[in-house]
Amino acid sequence: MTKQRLRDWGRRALIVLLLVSALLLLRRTGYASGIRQMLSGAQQGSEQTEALPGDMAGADITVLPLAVTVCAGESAGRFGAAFDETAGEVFRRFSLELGEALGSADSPAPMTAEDLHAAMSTCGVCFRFATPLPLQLLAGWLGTDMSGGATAHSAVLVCLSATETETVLSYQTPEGDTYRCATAAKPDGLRTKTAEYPPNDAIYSWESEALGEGESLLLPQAPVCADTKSAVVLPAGTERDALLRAVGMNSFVASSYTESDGTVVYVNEETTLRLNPTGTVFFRRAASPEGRTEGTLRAAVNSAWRVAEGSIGLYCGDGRLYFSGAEYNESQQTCTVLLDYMVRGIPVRLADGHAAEIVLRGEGVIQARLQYRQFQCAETQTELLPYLQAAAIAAARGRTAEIVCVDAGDATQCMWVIADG
Amino acid sequence: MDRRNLERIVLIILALLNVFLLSVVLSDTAEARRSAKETVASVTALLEDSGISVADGAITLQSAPAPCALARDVQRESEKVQKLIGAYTPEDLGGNIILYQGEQGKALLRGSGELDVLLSSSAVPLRRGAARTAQRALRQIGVTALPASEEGRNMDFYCTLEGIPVYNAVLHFEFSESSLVILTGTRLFDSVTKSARSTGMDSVSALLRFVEIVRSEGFICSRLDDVQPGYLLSPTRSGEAELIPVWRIETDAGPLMIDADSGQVESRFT
Repeated sequence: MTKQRLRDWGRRALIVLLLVSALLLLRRTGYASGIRQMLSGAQQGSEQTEALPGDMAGADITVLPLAVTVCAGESAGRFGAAFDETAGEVFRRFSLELGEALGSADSPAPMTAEDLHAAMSTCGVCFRFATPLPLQLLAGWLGTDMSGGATAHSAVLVCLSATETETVLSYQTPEGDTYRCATAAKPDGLRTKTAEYPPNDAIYSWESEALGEGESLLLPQAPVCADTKSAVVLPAGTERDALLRAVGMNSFVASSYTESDGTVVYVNEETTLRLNPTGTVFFRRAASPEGRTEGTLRAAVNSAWRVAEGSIGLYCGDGRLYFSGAEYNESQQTCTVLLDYMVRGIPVRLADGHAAEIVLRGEGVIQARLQYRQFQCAETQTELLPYLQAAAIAAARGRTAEIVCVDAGDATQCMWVIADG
Repeated sequence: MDRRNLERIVLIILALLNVFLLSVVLSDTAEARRSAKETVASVTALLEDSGISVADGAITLQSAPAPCALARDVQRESEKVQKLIGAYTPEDLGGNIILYQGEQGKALLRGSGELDVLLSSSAVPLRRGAARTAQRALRQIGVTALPASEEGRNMDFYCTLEGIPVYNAVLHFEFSESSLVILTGTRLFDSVTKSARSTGMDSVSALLRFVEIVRSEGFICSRLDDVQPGYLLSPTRSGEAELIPVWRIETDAGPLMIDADSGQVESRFT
């Protein structure tokens, strides 16, 4: 009996062994993955990429540097880019150094315009932004926190310059005041990266013999802009669910009706969303959203960005959204965030307001006005007036010149406009 | 049918299945080896036609490593620092720059991955040569690295991830006569998320791209010495970075880095 039992156990052990071996061998062959695909019903040839934590499509807030200059040293000449995507690429290239400098900036000390110009001519990089940027927000988007006196400031121009021992942060506020901060950022990285940009004869108008003053960047070649079409593209059918979700409405619960002018209205309790055939969407929530009344400016801007990216940001084609301003209303405890479109580095000016005007209380959206536009760049391009001529015309009026893309409903046109400042 | 007979039948079926699967695996393996040998021979012939001789064993069939995302973990970082400089007092300088002042030295670590460590003579004494001392220090702080270069008492190491070198994450060791004095360079962040699979070109495709570069972009060389997978560290924002898979092609004219995804020559990070 004992021998028999041993044989039985031996046989069973062998069965288990052979089973395990068969499974391992099956895995080595291609049959296992084939069976798995068949069972899961996965489509042939479909690829699924796994998103990594750093792969945050849409979560990074975009700022628009209108002009950038890179200088490898005092007598090394300057590389410049303006009103094109290169300016954004340079900004991203130096974002690490800028974040480090902002986060470690000391108390700001006032400086003269001449000192600022000197800083802009030494080894370093300068950015001029389309709209004033709160430095605290900018630091946050670059991955650091600011804690010094510069936290309260906004800037239209930011300059990093490398000395022998440190990186200096200089900036100009919208009011025209200029400040300088020592930082703990290492100058080596800045020096190495600036050497990657060979000079292209870019100068500032205050360096120009013809003009002698002003802050405009003058490039030797005339600006060239892609011809762009624009169209109103409203989400339809199930795609509207994304819009409702973006503003916190539930498409299954909200009721809808269509007005005589074609406006579709969604209503859920005290929340209303109106989709106008002209491409404008109005959202209003009568009561503050529960549990989200406290918040920081950064959190409010992040919330607004997510709403915009989840709605108009999905349909803008060759256009992109960028942050163009935020305002806090103390009495109502609300924050208004403004976002606009840009096309290949050029800001788009809509006929009526901004691409997105979102009012938040804490992180909750209580009101929003969104304008849907889809942009399509053609292969053809248009050359505009050279930088020097445009700057001269603007300087005669005591102003500066900027290139904007004016949206006229079904087409856009890039042109020089006289701006303030 | 009684249970024993059933078990015997199952046993026979499983045995036959195993024999069948084993024959498939052996056949596939032989086929893969033959195919790899043919592919290597073809690529070698193509390179030689382009005037580039190939060192023996330089070309093997390899897949590109999977891309990774890295994030700074200050807690783990401070534990590693403590192993070098002892009990410390941290000082946040802002901008994700932290200065650790310890009993046996000080360390400045940045959100870009750069570090500067100054050590006292008692922190890491020199024992059995600079190379072994450096390796010991690396083990002490839980960093894996491969030797890159050596000059006198100075040594460089490439940080590695799962044995794959990161060519622009270099740690530089400087020794005095008795101990490790300075440790500088760029480290890898501690929190690593690896993509499920590699999407980049394999070694053969990288070599085909190399031939294209030689022919059209004017890279001049006469001998190919080695082809190895690697990474380049690309900081995305302070405290975060990506590891970009690359192929490092060693030639007699120097190394060439090819991005495994785009096929572009990577010169910015070297």
